[in-house]
Amino acid sequence: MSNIHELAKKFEVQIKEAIAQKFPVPPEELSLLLEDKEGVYLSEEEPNTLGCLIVGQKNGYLYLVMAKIEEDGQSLRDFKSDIVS
Amino acid sequence: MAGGQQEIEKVENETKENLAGLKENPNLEAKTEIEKFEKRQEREISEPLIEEARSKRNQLLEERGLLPMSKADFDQYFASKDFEIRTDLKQGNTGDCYAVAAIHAMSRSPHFEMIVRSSMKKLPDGSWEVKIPLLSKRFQTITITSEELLPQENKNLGKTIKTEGGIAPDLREVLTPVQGKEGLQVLEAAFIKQKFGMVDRLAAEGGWGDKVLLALGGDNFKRVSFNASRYNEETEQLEYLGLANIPNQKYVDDVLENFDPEIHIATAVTKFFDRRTLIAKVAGKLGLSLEGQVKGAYRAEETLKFFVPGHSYSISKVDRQKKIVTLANPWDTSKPIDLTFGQFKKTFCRLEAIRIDNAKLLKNMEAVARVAA
Repeated sequence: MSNIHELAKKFEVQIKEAIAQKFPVPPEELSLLLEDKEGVYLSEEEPNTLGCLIVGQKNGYLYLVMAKIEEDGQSLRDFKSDIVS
Repeated sequence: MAGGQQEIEKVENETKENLAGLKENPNLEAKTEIEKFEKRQEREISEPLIEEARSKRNQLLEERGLLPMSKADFDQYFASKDFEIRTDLKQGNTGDCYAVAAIHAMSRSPHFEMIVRSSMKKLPDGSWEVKIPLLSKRFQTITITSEELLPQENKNLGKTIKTEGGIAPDLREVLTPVQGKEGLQVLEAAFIKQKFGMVDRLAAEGGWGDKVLLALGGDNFKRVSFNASRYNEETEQLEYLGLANIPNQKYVDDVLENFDPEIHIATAVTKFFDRRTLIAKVAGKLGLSLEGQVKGAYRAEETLKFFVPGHSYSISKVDRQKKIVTLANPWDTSKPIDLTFGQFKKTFCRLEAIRIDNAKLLKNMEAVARVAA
């Protein structure tokens, strides 16, 4: 598992919460795609930003959570979420 | 041009079958999905970042399940211009407006590239291989040759077809495919072949857009469908109502207001002519064909725009702030048609929307990858 995948795993609760606060989906129905290389990535569009793809296992939506990586590279902040498809 | 009265009768009969016996709430299909229709939220993340995420999703699928079509082939056979997926279509003289509308609606989706590249491939001999349903683990491989994309002899030539005012000969010598990029012609032919066992354009006349989307997408698609037609058991007639007449308007409004073309793919069907109306009766007495007249078009309520009765249109976009639906006629999709929500609901009797079920898609991709390995 890459560093960014580990970072996403560490903040899995906050990532799922960012979605659950905006959309009517319980966090336990959300899955991070940690087994996939592209499931977690560093954005080329926005520096120091992590992108994370999450699938709603029951509703079938694919969500995106973006978060700023702190300077120490060990934590995330400013979570934002949207539907990708 | 649509296939005429026979085509309309075919879809009417199907509607009667679907509606007969449904005593309760026949207008809301897939009610659970309607109730779960995700509220459209303001975007927190900018479009370039969403686009980047889509690209990552495509790479992820490529790694999991091998997208057999290259990006270059997709650009060549599906995109009308460089860097532009949007493509214009013109329905041939085959009465499969529903299939062309569905394919056009699908081609407008930002997910079209992924859908196509996952399941279609051009072979070295010029023929195409299409896996239907797209991405399903239980797909059927359909091969489309170059010959199957050519105009086809009309076996019905000279035979009489029913019209509103009586009968008329079918004068079409050949039945032509949709005009557009080759890949889109292949999709039309593959749908027909999958449904009828051969590319029989005559057999494909008359149908519903969502059935095409579901046939192509299989269980990767979730569906929302409204049908305002009512079957009156006493008169044994279909009553042609607009979506505005559906009792649970809340559901219709909810779907329209939260419709997101980034997520949903949709077609809509205009009202059929009601043969009991005065104009229809007069036309019948005079031996005129209402459907055939437009060219068959009629002017929609509260608008100067003309629409073809019983005809499928694709939905290109929905502006929920201005409450405008933008549609395209499969006869020529390059000309957008704007209607307010109110005009839309009075003009159209059926709305059919689907969206991708990513959970199923990813599971299916796992299965496809295992088969490939």
